[in-house]
Amino acid sequence: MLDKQKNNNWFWIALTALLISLPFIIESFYTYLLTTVGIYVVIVLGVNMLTGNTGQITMGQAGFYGLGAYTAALTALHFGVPLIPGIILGGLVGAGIGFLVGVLALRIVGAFLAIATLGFGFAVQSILMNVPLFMGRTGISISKPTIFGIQLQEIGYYYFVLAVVILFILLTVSILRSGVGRAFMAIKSSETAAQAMGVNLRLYKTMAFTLSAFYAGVAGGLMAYHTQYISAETFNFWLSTYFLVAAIVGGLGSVKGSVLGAGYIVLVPYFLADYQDFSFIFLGLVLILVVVLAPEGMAGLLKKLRVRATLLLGQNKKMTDSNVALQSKIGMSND
Amino acid sequence: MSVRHFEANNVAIAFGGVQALEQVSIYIKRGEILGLIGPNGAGKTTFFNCLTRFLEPDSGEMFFEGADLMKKKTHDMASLGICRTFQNLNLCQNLNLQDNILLGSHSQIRNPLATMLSLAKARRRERELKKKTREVAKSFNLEELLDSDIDSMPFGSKKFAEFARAMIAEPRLLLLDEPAAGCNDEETSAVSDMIMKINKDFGTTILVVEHDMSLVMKVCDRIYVLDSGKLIAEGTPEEIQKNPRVIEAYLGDDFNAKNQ
Amino acid sequence: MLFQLILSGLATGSLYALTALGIVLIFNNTRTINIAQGDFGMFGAFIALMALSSGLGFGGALVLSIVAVILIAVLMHLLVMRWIEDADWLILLTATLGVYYVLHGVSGWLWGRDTKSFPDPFPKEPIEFLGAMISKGHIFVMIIAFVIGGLLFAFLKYSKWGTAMRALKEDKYCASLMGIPIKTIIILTWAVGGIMAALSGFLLAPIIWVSPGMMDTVLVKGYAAAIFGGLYSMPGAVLGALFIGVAENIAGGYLGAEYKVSLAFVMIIIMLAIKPTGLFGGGKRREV
Repeated sequence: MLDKQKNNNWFWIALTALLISLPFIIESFYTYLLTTVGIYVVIVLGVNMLTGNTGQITMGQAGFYGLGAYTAALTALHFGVPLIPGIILGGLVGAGIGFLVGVLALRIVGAFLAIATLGFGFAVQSILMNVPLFMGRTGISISKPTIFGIQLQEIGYYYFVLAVVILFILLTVSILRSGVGRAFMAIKSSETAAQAMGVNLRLYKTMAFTLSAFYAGVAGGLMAYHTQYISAETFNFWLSTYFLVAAIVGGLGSVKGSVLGAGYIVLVPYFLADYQDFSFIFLGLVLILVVVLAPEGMAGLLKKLRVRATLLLGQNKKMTDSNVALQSKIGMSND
Repeated sequence: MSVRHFEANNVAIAFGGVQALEQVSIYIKRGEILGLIGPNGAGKTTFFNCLTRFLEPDSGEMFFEGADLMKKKTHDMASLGICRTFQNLNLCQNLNLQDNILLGSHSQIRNPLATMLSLAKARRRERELKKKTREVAKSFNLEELLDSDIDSMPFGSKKFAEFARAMIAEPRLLLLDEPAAGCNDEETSAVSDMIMKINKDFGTTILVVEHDMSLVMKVCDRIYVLDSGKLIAEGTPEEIQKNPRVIEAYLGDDFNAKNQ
Repeated sequence: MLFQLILSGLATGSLYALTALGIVLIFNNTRTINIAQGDFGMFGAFIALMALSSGLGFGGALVLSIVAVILIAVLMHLLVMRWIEDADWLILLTATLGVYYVLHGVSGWLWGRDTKSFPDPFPKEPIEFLGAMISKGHIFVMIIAFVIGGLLFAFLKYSKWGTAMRALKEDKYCASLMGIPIKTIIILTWAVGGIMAALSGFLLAPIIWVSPGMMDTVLVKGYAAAIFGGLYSMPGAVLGALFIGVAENIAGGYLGAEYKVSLAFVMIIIMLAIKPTGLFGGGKRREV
């Protein structure tokens, strides 16, 4: 168990070191793309906590994302609110609206939430399109982000987003390891057991939903400053489903999965941008394959690979208990 | 009130015209092990679900230590001091054993926000709870398994895990829903020993709803018998064994079972 | 003015009802929240458009599109849904999302992403009805939708297969004990759901025209309507669909057409807040 923990920590430390040095190695355009991935990581972490850990589904996350983006953009435009408070405001607006939707739509029956969020996504987009304040298709341009009076350039913003991503990963791990995270996971596994142990279903489901809306709002704020231009067309149903696809293909209930999934959902459409239809077909087929054949997603596959590699390298002599348990869980024979 | 730790008066519920419970009144004394038995379909589980507030009775009242249970929700039970186990194991597959047991202490979370952020106080609390988890696990012989997945645990350990999850909250009333369900003779006897041990060591009042006669006769101080939604007898195990109405109810059931 | 808005609202509402009926039917028998339900209709509309442009009449185009959509729906069940039948509803929903992506991509690839006009099979000229002007087409559409709805009810109520379907909805295990061929019934469910989708797509096409995204908002309205019946009741879904059609038309008439989708969401929320089990939902139903 401890070994596994140590391995895991090394994985994260190495990854962080790599990400810090990357802007000096790769072209600036890829730095921009990586920043996008980082922003997606934040929102997918929230979706995954809601869907992967708590077992609720959201198909309107682009709505909260849009609310966050417009909050940051409009407060910057009209009141000169700087980067950090703007993003926090974006998160709070997302969370506030999320709380309201959650309170109204979160009945014991989870399917209703899925449908309510589906409607919510469309409603937010039509409001962004049509209420003059949001300037619809014309969109809003905002100036480069500043922290403490210093203007951030592309690389600077990359580091800022990286810091926010690390913060949100730590926050997510902290929540999931706490009693609250346990309650979330209990709800997913068995609502009756959770209730009998004292978990207030309405309260905790609303909490998970509000948290995911907060993550989405923050990500929206980050995105507004990243693209420095937002328009209502961006925040459509597709985007909502992208976040869900990222959580599922990355690996439901896994923080590592959220990171992998965010990378997947940004990079695949980017590299297939000239073949949009094939990009949809590819994403759809992969989603179906994952759901049917590999429900633990990319994170689950990685885990399997690691066990297999350990076996191949002949380290099975000192296999730990947890590895044995892992093996039996994923159904590998011990030959 | 002081003797009657728990009491239910005239609890009744009907499902689509079928009277599942008819004016059932029982009481539990502090510190006793009470049995609620009856043939299949007698309404035991229905009563259990009314008590744990998964079902809303049509009429009747229930009090625990003076608190009106009809005004409480399912998730309030644990903080009132009433914990339960499930007939068909209901452990969370996506949590390991330690987290499953820790889940039992959920009602001790006072401030969800501080808990989520793992603030110093919440961390200290979590450390204490983990220590307590180890102690509880020890008393149920589960110490070695704390890091295991639920799937990989043997059946008997899963049974005890349910007990451990209920006991970490230090309930004053423990409700057991058919604790011997699915057990062979050996496991049944281990479960009955455990029930008596809990009652003796922690002084917990226990209500056992059970179909298996051997377990109930061994552990219970007093027994109620339900048949077709009605109470038909009350008494010590010896009295119940001699009661002709009980024998009739059970024989009829056995008779039916053999003919099926 | 108001009466006119109500009349044409009933016409569009009756088309949403076809989508909603397909949604409820599939949900009842397979626990699946089918995100691809709208795109079944979209695909059918494209097929019909192709048939029309190759010289086939409206009748032939309709038959062809229904056959194609039945094929798609049944294939979706056989290739995807069948393998995860017993999974969590969340997994089922996700799989249909995958199918939605594929259908979207394939139709964009075959027919392009731009919106194409669809000839109106019905005469457009308006007629007077109780002082309101309404196009003949609207009246035809309404009549057809009601005939189809009636046929579906008759099928479920009186035919052997329909009765078996309803038994399955009540209790799958019990139905299997009674010797009902569950596998066949589920295939039939997808097929009938496909017919509903194809008809809804075909009848909507002259109004909203044809493009890969044409059914997206219809899907939302279909689900909003289904929520009215608590996701289980067909009469509830029809009533919900008509209500949404009328309400959005009135709101559109006075507020502006842009807010029609928002209205669907508002109605979902109001419905869930007031009576979460739906207009016709009883007390305790299966938890999903």
